[in-house]
Amino acid sequence: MATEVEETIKRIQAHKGVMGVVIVNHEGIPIKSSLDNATSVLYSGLISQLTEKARNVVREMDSTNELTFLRLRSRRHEILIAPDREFILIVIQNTSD
Amino acid sequence: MPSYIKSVYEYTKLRRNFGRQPLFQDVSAQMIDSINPNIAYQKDYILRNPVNREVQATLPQSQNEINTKTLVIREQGINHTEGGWPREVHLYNEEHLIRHRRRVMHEDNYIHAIKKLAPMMEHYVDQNNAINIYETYFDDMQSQVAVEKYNVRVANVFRDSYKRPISCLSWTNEKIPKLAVSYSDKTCTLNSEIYRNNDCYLWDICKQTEPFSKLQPDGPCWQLACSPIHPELLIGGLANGVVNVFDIRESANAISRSTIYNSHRGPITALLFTHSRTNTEFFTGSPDGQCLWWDFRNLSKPLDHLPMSVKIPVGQEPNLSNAEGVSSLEFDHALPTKFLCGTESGLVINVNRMGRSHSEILTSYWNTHSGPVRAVHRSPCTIRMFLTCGDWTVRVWSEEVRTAPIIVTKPYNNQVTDASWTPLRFSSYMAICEGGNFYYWDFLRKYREPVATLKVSKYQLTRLTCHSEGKSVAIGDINGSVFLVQLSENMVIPGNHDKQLMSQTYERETRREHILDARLKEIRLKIRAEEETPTTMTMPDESSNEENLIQITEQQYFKIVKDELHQLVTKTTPSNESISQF
Repeated sequence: MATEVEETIKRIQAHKGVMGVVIVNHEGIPIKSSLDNATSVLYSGLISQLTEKARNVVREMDSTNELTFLRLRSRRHEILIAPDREFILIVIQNTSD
Repeated sequence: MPSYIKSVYEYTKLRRNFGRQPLFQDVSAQMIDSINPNIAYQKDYILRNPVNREVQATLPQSQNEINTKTLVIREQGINHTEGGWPREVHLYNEEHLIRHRRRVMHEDNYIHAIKKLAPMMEHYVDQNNAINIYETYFDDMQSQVAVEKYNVRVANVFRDSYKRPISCLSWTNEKIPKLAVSYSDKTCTLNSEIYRNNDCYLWDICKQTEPFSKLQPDGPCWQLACSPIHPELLIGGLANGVVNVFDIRESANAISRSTIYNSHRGPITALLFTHSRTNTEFFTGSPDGQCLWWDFRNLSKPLDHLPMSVKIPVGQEPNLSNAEGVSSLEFDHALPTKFLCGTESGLVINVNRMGRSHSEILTSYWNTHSGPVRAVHRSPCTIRMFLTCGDWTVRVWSEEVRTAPIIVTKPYNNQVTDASWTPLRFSSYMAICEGGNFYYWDFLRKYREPVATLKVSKYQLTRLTCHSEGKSVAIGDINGSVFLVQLSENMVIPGNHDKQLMSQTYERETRREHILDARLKEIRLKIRAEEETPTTMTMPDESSNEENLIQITEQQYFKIVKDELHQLVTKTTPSNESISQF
């Protein structure tokens, strides 16, 4: 089971343009990260707050709706955020070709 | 050394007598000493009276000081860099961190979550790699320069030595056309010195120094028209309502004139040739409120007359007292029995000569401007569309829509004195205004502003006529100058799909007005219907409606609840299976 997860993460990382993968739990701890600790901690803190906010937005607009995916596009790269009940999967991808 | 008296008394007491209780005895008084008062000393003293004594009556108070221990306060910010770790895990202990992470990674929840999220993530990553959806498209394309260039230039100027304002311009209908110009001041009706000269000139457009020939009407000539078949015959309408016929081959004076009794009672403001077999008939309009039809072979009396009264008060016959003064007329050879009449009060009346009663003749009217309608002109492309100009605007109307113009353009800075459609190009029209500007509009190229403007003269422009081929336009101003303006090719010849597009524009605008009109009527009807029905009738209806509503919603609610319950039951069975897998 755990190895499958490892392989999945490695597969995502192998995609073209992917700069890093971070998995954050609901307390804000980066469980698994391909970046250095300081960056992971930064990402986990900021993005878990953003995800919470985004989740609230979707919920308040329509109480039957829920957040499935969040894409944050900036000039240098794109941050893809997949939230779950307890964990958040974050992928940073380089978009400019 | 004086010896002093020892103040000592010695006595002896036996030890066994110590500590005994004292036994007191009652002894009679014994005088030990007596001191007599000394009167000499007494004299040194007196009685003190009064005696001052100070007394203070206060509450007993006491003062006491105490001090608490000082509280030390300090402000400090906290920077939360990393946290969320459980208490046992110390941040700086690598081992602990790794162990904790490993523990989490082996949880069921973790595995399940990542497995669920990974495919979605892969999808988006692939999507991003496949195409950059946010790039700016067409970034490197340059904006295109407009293909058509509009060129308007003044080719020639014909000046009047007397500097009289131009009242009418007309092109003669011959191969090499000449310009017939009549000069008169329409505003000043007094016979002042300058305007005594009533000559109308016929200009050859190649020669601008002096006119080709002169015409001398009997009075100031307000309108001029050239015969469609005989280029030598000209008709002039004068300020006193009389019509003069000129033949330039014969003489400068009028060859025939109408009698003042049979003509208009006011100056002639419009003069047009109508359709007739012999091409000798024309009709005139004047602010006296009637239109007269004439045959120029016999000007002794008009063929027909029509009082232009549309707003007739109840019980009266249409006559000149309730007629509207005519300020412009429009006749199109495609519709031989109909014409449009623009009045001094701003109405445009649609006239059908073949009607039997007066109301059938004057079929309908539009409220076009707040002031006299200076020009009415039908579009050569779509007959049912016509433009009017007056006060500060030019408006385009459709015969089908009574309430509002179909195309309205921004008001001009000055009053618009004349406007007409271009004869060949379907989508364009020209307008002149009191500021001395000539505007050329094209609805298919630029809707909101003219495509070309030219400041023709610094004086007010009065009249505009376009030659039937469209290339030259004659414009007159109040200083007696006639400007011959040439338009570039693209302003004369229509584009490929112009006719179709213009008629589509017309259709679209008419439909829009129809829809707006219908909607307004609907709203008005509704308001009127609401006012009419009494309010008591609605009460029982409302209550029964409410009951119905309640029942319906109840049924719906129970149905929804049942459905949900049913779904829940069916859902539990597959989810049980999935949990048992782990």
